[in-house]
Parts: sequence; structure tokens; C-alpha cells
Amino acid sequence: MTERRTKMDIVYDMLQAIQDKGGAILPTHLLYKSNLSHGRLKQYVDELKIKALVTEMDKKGKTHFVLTDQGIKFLANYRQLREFTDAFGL
Amino acid sequence: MALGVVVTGPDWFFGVDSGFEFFAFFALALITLFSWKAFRFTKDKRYRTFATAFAFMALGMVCRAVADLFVALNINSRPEVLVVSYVGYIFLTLTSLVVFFALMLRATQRAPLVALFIISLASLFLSQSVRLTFHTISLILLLFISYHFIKNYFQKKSFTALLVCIAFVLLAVAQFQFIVDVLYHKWYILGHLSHVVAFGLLLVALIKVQVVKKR
Repeated sequence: MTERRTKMDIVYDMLQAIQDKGGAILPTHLLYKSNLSHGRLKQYVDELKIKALVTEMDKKGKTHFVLTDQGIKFLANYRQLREFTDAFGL
Repeated sequence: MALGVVVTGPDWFFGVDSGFEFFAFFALALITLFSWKAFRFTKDKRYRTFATAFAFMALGMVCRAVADLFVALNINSRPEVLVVSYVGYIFLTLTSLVVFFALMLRATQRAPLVALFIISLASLFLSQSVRLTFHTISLILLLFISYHFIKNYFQKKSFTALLVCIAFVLLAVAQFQFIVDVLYHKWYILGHLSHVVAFGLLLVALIKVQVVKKR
């Protein structure tokens, strides 16, 4: 059985999904990439916007979630932390 | 309680051992800072406990370095500094190992760990040779801690996990070498070499973790 994702893991998965799409993603794509319900996704996106990790932007008439510089920094820090956690078995 | 045997290595090595211990302090201090940063980032208490364990070990190393420096410089006018720093080294290192042990066990109850710590201190206090008892207790605790890191390496199969695993096995080996160093001086030198290689490996593991950021 796979382990339950922590809040940090979910945030990482969401930001990673945006980065994998070149820094901007459609809400529907983020929904299935992050494996969350619509309601939970909205909650998370709102929190990410408040923390300035993502912003909303209109591209060709469609709403996109865009990764901010702070979001990129978060991803780098999280990767570092995961490597540290794995190395020391925490 | 007999705190007699502190000096067991050859004369030429005193001072070198102190340098090794200051290097160990540097490596441990950096790991402490990184763990603290991880705690600030995640608010996860495991990282705070981990930082605490490394901080105790780092402070213990400073105490030991000061004690060995006093021996190297042949300062006989202040024997109390030598005794206090050596006792400080023992107390801080034991505390650190018990905290590591608790973390590895993912212990939620404090009472058994406090009991373990008190039993260890009582054994030291009642012992004929504090040094031998300390290294024996440290060896036992480090064997359990090393087992956790060996298991972790086989689960994660990562290079950094391997470095950490080898480092803790070497720390256990060093304790054994410090136990037998009364028989021959070279074991004292070998114990310090195992120590410095172990802390060097921990430093390399930390640098490897930092490099991940740039990906």
C-alpha cells in the first residue's frame, strides 16, 4: 500500500506538474496530474496563490496556473529536503 | 567513578586528534544548521529532533577537542578545564546518541529513553573506568543506529544513503578501536582516523544533498 501524501507532498506534486508543463498549466490538466478532487484542488490553488507560489494568467482566452519564482525556489528546496530525508532515513 | 585514563595515544598525535575533532565539529555544525533549516521549512518535529542530536554531538566534539588541545599543549596548571571538557564530551555525546536512538525507533514515549539515559549515566558513575564504559555504551547504541542506516540504504539504494550508512558504521568501528586502544597506541590513531573519515563522509553526503537543489 502506498503512503498517504502529506500536505507538502501534494503541494510539491502540483508545482512539479506545472513545471513539467513548461511553467504554465490548464486547471483541468492540473486536476488530473495532482490526483485531487475539484474542491480540494481549489483549496490548494487558493493557498498557493496566497503564498505567491503560483499565479493565474489568461493565455489565448484560457485560464492557466503559472509557476512563480517563489514556486521554483520552493521546488528546489523541497527536492533538497527529500534527498536529505532519504539519505538519513527520516 | 574513576576518570583517570584520558591520554592513551602516542605523544606526536596529540594536537592532530584535536584538529580532527574541530573538523568533526565543523561537519556536524553544518548538518545541524541544515536540519534546522529543514525544520523551519516543514515545521516537522523530526527535523528539530535530528538537529538537536547533531547539535549535542557537535558540542561534544568541541569539548573533546579542547580536552585534547590541553593535553597537546601540556597545560597542567588548569586540570579542572581538562576534566570538565572531557566530562562534557561524554555527557553531550551520550545525550546525542540517545536522541538518535529515539529518532531511529520513532519512539513516541519519552520514559523508556529517559530511563536508558539515566542507566547509562549511572553505569558511568559506578564504573571503574569511565572511558571504557562510555565507549562500550556508545558502541552498543551506535550498532543499533547503524542498523537503521543499513536498512535505510537497502530501502532507498541512493548514494547519499550509502555515505551516511558507511559513516555511522565507521563511528561504531571507532568506538571499538577506542575500547582496545589501551592495548596498543595505533588503535587510538585508527579510532581517530575512522572518526574523521566518518565525519568527512557525512559532510560529502550533505554537499550531495545541496547539489540536488541545482537540478
